Amino acid sequence: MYLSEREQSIIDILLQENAYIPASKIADVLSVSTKTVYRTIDKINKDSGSQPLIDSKLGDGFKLNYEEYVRKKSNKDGFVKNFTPVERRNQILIDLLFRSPNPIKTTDIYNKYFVSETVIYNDITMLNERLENDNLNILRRGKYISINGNEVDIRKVLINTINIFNLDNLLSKESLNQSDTEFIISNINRMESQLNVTIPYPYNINIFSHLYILINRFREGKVNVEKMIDELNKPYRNLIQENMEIFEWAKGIIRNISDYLNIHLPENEVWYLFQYLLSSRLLNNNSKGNIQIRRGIEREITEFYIKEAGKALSKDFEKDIVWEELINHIRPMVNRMKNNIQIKNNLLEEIEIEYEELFNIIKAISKNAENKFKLGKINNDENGYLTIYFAKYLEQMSDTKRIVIICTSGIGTSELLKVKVKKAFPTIEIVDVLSTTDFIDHYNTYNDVDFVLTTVNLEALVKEVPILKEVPIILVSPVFGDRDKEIVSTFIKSK
Amino acid sequence: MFKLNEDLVILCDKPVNKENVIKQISLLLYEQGYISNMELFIEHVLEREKAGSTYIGNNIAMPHCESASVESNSFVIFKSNQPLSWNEHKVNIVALFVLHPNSSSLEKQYYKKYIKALGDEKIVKDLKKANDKEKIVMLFES
Repeated sequence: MYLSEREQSIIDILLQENAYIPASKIADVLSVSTKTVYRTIDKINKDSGSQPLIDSKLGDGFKLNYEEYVRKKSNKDGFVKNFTPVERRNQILIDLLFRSPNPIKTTDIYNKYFVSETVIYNDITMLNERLENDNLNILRRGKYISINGNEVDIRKVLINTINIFNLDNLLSKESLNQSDTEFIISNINRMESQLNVTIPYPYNINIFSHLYILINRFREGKVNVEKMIDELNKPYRNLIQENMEIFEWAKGIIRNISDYLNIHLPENEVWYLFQYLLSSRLLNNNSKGNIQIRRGIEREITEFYIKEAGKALSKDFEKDIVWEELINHIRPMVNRMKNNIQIKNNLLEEIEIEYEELFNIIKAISKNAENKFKLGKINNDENGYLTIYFAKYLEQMSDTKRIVIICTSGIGTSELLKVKVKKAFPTIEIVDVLSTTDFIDHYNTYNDVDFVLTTVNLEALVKEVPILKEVPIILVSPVFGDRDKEIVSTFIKSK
Repeated sequence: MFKLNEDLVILCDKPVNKENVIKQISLLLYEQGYISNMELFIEHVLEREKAGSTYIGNNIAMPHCESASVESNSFVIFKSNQPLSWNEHKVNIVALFVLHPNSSSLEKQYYKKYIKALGDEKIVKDLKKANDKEKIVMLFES
């Protein structure tokens, strides 16, 4: 759910106290009437679904339902959000395009991102800027957002947008409908085996995306069929004659999709698909194999990027995490270089602005990689994609906090706490578990931690040992329940 | 090296309170030679109680003490079928951990496993169901 500024403010106030707060007090702090407070809280609870976010008690006022709040804020089990702004805008655009011209309720589409109205407004402004040359425009009417345009333009932007991330992980992407994916793949596979061809990368991905978009446009949106008819011209009839087999396959696939969707698809769809197949350089399986890429070179290149980026950013990249995702991009990138295939990055401009410094670093590394590994020119579209991978990782990494857990003896509830903290906050690095004495005695070793977690009240000690004032100390209960997690999470976010 | 045995498990079916339980456990530890001074020991346990909560959830409390009154590392499991009040919580199980301040780091490492066991969901589940001293010992010693 997304919250307006006022709604977020009320929640902030309730977060500070674990007790019922009267409406009058809230009204005072926000300089609004109590009626407004009641109304706003009603709205928050209405939007929050089956479980109200804010509890009320007659005579006492309002209290935040921590469990519900925490549940809403968390992404499955963790407290860490993985969407970069660029990815979020991308996904929003895809959702809107699929449904075009049907409007979507703003709250529904922004449900999974816990962002404010300002962010939504900025998102839409940025998206419209991006869409300026595409004859598309996002409209907001009351509580709804929609996007309008020609089917041709809609599909064009969709295919460019969907092709962006996880080009090869497309098939494992959770957001893709499982049965759609399987259906499309089985159709493509059948065609490949019948025609005895292989559709090489990236054409197979393109066809997949094309069909995926087709299915979802007809299922979720409204397709203006008349406007698409002009494409079919007489000269192209010859093309069809010469490639009858492929044309028949295109017809067959579209028929299958019609059955799958239980919607009658217009004839042009056959024509579009046919064109796609034609331009896909269907490799005859009898011909000699492709140019062999030197095995292992993608590993070396990936290592190179990770090492050089680490140097440039003075960070020690935990190789394993970046490695997996990066090599899955580098591999096809090398393939593209070898086959002289250019991909377009629709987000390039945005990436250059949002991640300027990182983009320049990647550009420089690419230049070196070109020379070192004798690749072709790595253009800016490629650099843009590479930047995103590192940006994502950095955003996750910045959440890493180093902490120390303290107890009177250094062994006891602190050991248990260590296990619980690790489980709840996988990005927290627990540098050590110590007794208070050890921590003070060896303060020099630990003075760079982000904060200290303790199960014993150290207030008295802090008064006597001034160096303890230098590091934030958070007192939690050894249960480490929702309230404790919220305290830690709020602290981390505030830094 | 410390090993849990049936003599360190107390099963109780009478109503008790927090102070009572700590005294009972301390007496047991004294009689078995794990602590040398009962009064001092209890004082230290209560000191730790004042410094911060030892309730760890699941109706289990984990008071503990590292004190000069301790002769050797030990811990006692007290299980009551009548819940008792532990500050603002209700507990059925009290696990009192006793640490000798001059324990070697190896001993400390070894000892930690007992504490960590209380953080293991499966062990806790079985512990709550167990009504047999032998079974309880097995949970920690396997």
